[in-house]
Amino acid sequence: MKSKFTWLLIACIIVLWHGHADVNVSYAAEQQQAQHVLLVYDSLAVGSAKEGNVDALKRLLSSMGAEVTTVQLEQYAEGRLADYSHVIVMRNEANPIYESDKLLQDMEQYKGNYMHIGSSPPDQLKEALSLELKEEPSEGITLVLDRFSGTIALNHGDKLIASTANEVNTYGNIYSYKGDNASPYGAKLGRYAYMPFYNRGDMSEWAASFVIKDWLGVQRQGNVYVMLREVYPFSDLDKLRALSDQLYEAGIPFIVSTKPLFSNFDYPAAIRYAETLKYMQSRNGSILVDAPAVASTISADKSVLKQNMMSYIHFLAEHDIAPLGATAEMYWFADQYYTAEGLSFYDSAIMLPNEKVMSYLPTDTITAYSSSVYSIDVERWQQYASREKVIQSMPLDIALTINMLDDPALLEQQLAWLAESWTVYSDYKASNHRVVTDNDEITAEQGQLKVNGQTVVLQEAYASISSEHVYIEEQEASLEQLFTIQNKIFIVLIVIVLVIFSVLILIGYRMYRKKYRR
Amino acid sequence: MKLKQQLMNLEQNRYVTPASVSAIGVLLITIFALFVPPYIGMADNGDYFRILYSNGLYFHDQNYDSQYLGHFVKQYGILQYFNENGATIFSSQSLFIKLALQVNMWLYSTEIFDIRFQAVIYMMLYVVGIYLLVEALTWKVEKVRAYIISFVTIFLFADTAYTAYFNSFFSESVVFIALIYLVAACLLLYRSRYNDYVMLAIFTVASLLLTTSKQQNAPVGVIIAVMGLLLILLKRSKLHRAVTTLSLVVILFAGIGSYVLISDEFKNINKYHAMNRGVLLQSSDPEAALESFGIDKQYAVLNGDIYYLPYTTVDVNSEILMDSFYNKYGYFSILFYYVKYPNQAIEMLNMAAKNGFAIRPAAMGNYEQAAGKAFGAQTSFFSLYSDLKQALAPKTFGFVVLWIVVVIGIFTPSFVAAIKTKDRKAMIRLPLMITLIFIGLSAMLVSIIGAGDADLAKHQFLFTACFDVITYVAVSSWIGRQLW
Repeated sequence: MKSKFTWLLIACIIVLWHGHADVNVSYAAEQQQAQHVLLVYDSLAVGSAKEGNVDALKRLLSSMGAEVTTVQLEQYAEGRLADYSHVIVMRNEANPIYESDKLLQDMEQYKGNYMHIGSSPPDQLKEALSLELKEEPSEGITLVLDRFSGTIALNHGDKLIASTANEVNTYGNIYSYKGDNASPYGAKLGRYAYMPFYNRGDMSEWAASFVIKDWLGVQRQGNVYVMLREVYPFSDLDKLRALSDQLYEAGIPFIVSTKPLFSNFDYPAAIRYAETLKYMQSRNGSILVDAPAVASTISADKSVLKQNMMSYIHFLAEHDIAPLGATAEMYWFADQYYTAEGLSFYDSAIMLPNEKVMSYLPTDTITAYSSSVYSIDVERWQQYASREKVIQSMPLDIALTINMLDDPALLEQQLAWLAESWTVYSDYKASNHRVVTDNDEITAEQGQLKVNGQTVVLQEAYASISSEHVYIEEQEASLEQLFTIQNKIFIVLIVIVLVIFSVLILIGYRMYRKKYRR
Repeated sequence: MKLKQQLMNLEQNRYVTPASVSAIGVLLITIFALFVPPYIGMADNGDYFRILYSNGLYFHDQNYDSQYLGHFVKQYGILQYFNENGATIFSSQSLFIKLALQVNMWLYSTEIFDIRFQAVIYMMLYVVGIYLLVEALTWKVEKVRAYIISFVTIFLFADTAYTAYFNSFFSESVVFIALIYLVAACLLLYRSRYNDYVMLAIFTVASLLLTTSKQQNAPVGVIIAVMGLLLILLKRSKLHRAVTTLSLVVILFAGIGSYVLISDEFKNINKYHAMNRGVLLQSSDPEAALESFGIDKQYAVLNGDIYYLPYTTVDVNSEILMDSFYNKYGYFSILFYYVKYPNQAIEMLNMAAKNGFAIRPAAMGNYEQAAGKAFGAQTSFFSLYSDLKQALAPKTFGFVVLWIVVVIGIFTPSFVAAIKTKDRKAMIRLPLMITLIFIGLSAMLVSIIGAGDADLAKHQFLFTACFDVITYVAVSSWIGRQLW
């Protein structure tokens, strides 16, 4: 009996351990895939057309699951390269204004993967790729890669690849307006890769993702999601429901990045917001929580962000809405305070480009998430992608974002474009996501949503919410009565004082008249 | 009796007049408070950056972030390169900061700005203002009574709740000093103590500084310009009338200009508060209140929201608020709303009165971090008056009304007498008091209409300052037997 019990116990431990190990393995596998990249740049190129490309590259790398550390060339500390499996040097200045001897020395010893972007590639890279560069006289070029193409305005000093060794993998073709022979955009061989320029907001930003994917060794194919942004509690809720119907009928699953609410959860307006999100969830929508607006980085109470975010997640959970991850501007992911207090609940995130940076405790490293998605405006995507071409390979997961504050005509046009496009859109909740707070646990596993262990039943019926609500408690009404009594007392006092003064003035006036009559 | 004798001896010495006693008293106490360790000043509540950067200064202290609200910081960096920060606010305060900066660069450092240079300038101006004010109230007054007035002056005006502002970048310093000069100039005109044209010049400059010191003081210019019409009739000379009219026109335009130059960001913050911390806060049906302005009822979720919260649902300058919220209402429509719903207006006025008697807001500390005092600690050195006022003043709007009635009542007989005797100068005092009452009330109303209950204690500094100055003039006039 004892031996049976022992075997049973061992069997249970194995089963439980196995189950537990599965979870760990899946997360560990994700972690193992995360490459640690050091991005060294010479200049932020503020005021030039390249401004913002360092941030754009960081966002791209993070969305591919890499952990990115950024350092300016001047601040590079000797021996740092050895800590990273991948190193990118980005040169924005056509004529280097600063050379780091420390970096050059470390580069000679470095055996990891090296990518160079921009001017002055090092000799070892040039030799490895047999790289030759050429001046490009025309300012306007067209870059074609896979099924994508876009025009690019070259900056002063930008060069193009003239030739590489035959065995080098090249990416894309650049055509100048003069009709010269095409040049490749990117080149990669073994541990080396090169791109002659990288700009934020044009085709080079997207084309770079193909080169980087191979250089990082990412195997999986990316998905394309559609995401609605700028959804507020005071957005046009009827329009949101109509839009979700429209997307549902077009067979497009979508993500809703919702603006969080931190108070007045019991108000009819808040409940209407929740009901609308629930309806959108039932129409194949996946709900994500957007980062709040940072009004001020001055706060004596450090726990306020965590409490705020947990209260909103709880509000959603209470209404059977399953938030599956976070959306936030990139600076949130590069800030110790925001990641610890505002993003630690999520294992899935979508990084948005920075619009207004309000850092609190900025750090030079962006931590990798098990699920990261790169966001691109539909308007920009329309410039690269063709509606009538099937995309054969996606280097990373992307979310095509629709700004709900845009002009209604533009929204209609974008929705029509997406519906008519040959692209296959993925359902965000079909992959695994997990949100854990002190009060709630929300999961998505293979399309099944669970809130605190209960499967979410998707209901299409929208419950209309009445405006009736007690905003001011009865207790305050009794106080109001007190105030009224107090005011009445004051009015009586004022009248008495006025009478006394009138009498005094009258007496004074009579005394004055008597004095002068004498 | 001994004290009386000593005071009479003092008066016999022509160098130590009651005005000089007050000025020296205020000077010594202020020097002791602001320039002897532990230095007293005001912690930054987050507002400094606007005025700081537009004047070529920056936060130099690496631990500055941890000192917000809690500790006073006395040193700032001076920008060494081109200052790309345009003026985000237009304030007469910048004149004093720039002057202090020049003196600092000349005497101390071209890289570090010590705020105490600014405090010295404010203090010297303040002491001269106090001298003029006391001179107006004690001239030809019985000696003993005059010295009592001078001690009352020290008790009230050397209070560190007022003088601590000198070691800060808050414009309250300019507001208070300008107010003192404004009242002193009018009272000196009333007493015919000095040259009328000099007094008129002081009155004009003080009014301009007061009006342009803060955007919320824009109505002050209009009030002074309208109430000052009496000054035109002070003399029959054409020159006097022309100069006075011109001065009043300039003050009026300064008021209008201050309003026009309010930046959009400021307008947005104030409008945000006016609705969410004002109209909606006291409404029993916020959705209906919003719909009465033509705003989507869903905005009810913003009820009670405050811009100064670090994390909010929506950026106060966002497109959605611009298009669907701010565009739907203005200060006049809010005023109209309060007229339509007087109960809500009374609630707000009571709320304003509740916060209208604090000279220094409780949120800001007075000591440097190095002084080793607790975060947010406030000084108790020479602050008996402000502490008593905060503790004892009945904080209801009814009390404010009663106080107004009493003030008007006690100054009316002398005004009536002046009309009877056709003594034009003697008529100035009551309109001056009424002007100050209007200025105080405007601060209260502007706070409520313009920003709801947000930051009420600080927004109502002008009310509390007017309350003190009016009460002080009334009490001093009574002590000096100048009331009737």
